[in-house]
Amino acid sequence: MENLIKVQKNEGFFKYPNVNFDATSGDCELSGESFMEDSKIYYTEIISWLHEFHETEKSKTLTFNIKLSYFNTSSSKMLYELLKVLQDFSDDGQDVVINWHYDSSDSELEDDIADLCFDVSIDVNQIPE
Amino acid sequence: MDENKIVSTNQSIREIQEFEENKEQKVLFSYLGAFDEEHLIIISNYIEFAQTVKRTTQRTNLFKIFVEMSQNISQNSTLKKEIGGRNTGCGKITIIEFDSYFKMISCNPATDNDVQTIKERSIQMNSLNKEELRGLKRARIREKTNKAGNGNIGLIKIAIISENKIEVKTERGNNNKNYVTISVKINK
Repeated sequence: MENLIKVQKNEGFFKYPNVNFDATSGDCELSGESFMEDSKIYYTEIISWLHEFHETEKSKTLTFNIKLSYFNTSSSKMLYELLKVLQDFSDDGQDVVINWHYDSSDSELEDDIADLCFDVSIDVNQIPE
Repeated sequence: MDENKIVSTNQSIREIQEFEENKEQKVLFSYLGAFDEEHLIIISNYIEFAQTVKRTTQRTNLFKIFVEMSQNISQNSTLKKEIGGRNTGCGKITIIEFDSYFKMISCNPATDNDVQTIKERSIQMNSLNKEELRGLKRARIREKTNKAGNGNIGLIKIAIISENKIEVKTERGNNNKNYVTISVKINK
């Protein structure tokens, strides 16, 4: 299975997160900022890759690191979908670790993360930095 | 395009009259047109440049509310302009500075359904405190929607960020179209 890597220049108004998903190690990272015209299109590719990883590499631990300094409401809906997908993988027997890093001085971001994780049954390690 | 339409005397007079009536206001910024990426880059750079607020949090809040308002116009305005193969919504955003706060105002034509929904939701939101607004946001995020974009969570986010009531006014124009104006205070 191929890695999924998207390094964004983000020179325009909209900001697309960097994606670094390693199929060999199972380490996945989403970083930067996330606000775009149509978040559904961008995140659908990410979620499709994760589904393929789950189907072909179920015995591996999937470690998902989120390091987003800002995401708008359009992205938050898709980030919730992503968490639910990871929860489904865990329910299906895959070892899934989610680490959500954030700036400890940004209380609004902390609230947004807490709101997304509110009723997700899988543990999300919320890590202030 | 007819050159005479570019220089619209009537529109200019109306805008100057509006300024005369409110000349104590410090309009930081006003833009009328399509909310496509090319214009959004220019506008966001201007907002960063023009505002006099020094504290990072306030600067960020103004920008975040602009992101949500501009996305609302881009996706929900019924006045569309084709740019780069995409139908982009058109409308107006104005930022006015007062002594103790900024006011951001958006205006765009909207469908009857959208107008009704925004009016109802603003009444609901204005009756809620911050924790209750967060609860409403959580519920909206979890709602299934086929609509591209934010699923109407943007307005709730604006209320949470601004920590003030949202004013929504609707008006039917001479052309029989519905126009919705959303304004919000952002404390300094």
